Amino acid sequence: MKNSNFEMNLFPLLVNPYFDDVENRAMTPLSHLREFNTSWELYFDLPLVDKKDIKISFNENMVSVEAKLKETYFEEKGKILKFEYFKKSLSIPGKINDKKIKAKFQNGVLKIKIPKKITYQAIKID
Amino acid sequence: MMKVDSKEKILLVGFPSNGLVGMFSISYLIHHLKMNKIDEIQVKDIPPTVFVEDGKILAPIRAYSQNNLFVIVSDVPLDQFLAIEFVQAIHKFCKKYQIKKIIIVSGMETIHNQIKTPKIYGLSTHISIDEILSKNQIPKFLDGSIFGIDAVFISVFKKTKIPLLFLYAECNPYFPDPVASIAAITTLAKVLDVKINTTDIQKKIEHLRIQHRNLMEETTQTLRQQQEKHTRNPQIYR
Repeated sequence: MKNSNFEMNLFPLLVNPYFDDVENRAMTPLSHLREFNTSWELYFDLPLVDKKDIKISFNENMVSVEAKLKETYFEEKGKILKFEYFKKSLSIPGKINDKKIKAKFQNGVLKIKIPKKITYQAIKID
Repeated sequence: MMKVDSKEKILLVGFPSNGLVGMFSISYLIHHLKMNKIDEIQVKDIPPTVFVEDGKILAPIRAYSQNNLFVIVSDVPLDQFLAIEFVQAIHKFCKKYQIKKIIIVSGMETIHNQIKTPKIYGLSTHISIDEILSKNQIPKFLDGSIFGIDAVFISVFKKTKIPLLFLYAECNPYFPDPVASIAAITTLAKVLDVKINTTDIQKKIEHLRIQHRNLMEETTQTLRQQQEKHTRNPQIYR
């Protein structure tokens, strides 16, 4: 705890399970996937980002998000690391209806609503 | 320096949980009140971790104080097995320092993911501290399920003479939520009858979210393990 400036603990600086792409100055954002009966909701935490600087792309069931930061983010991990982007790709565990995908960005959280591709086959009851 | 003028000894506890609300709030209070480190809390079976800051070695669970206000903060997420040891260590601390009341700040998942002004709910183990809720117009947590470390705290302290109050801030449980933490700090300030300026944390909301993403991920994994072993609904206010 530093007195001059409000800093949290050191713990987040010591462990990095994400393997940020330091060379390309890209951080891996936090994300969360929720499954509903007919859709998935995929959330990305994108602080320091403007809506206009977010790119979302789909390839089959893979979702990729890239976002440029409003300002360079510096992180100290033995040496000073510089980051300018968030980048992450995730695969959705099922078939998606890519024509009805909707995205919303509010308070630095990107929400992507992905409808499931549901195909029905009638089953005859004996 | 802001001073807390409490007649009885109060302990505040914060640890990584939903939205990191408890840890953010308690760490901010330690910083803002310029509290002094008085002790380190030993928990058996905790993965061996120490932090080094400005050449000083720090344990992951530490105690601070200022007058009659005591604070314990954990920088590591605690699973349900470590939770029992942790709560017992807190109980031991309470006896050692003659604590009369415990307040734990934590986050609570809501069905509304994007809330502008998070509400705070209170849950107490003893009727004797329900007065805090009514006096400060804090609604009671009326319905829902609680599991993991919070449940251990409630079960252990319900049987003791030390009343415990949980202050739950509505939050996004999966991402660091400094906005919910500010709401928790503001409520805590009312309860403690002390002025706490939240400008510092407000200025750094976005940076704190980035800085703590690794700890948030670890915490989510810990909470998920607990949830998978639990048969009832997740912690949610309905």
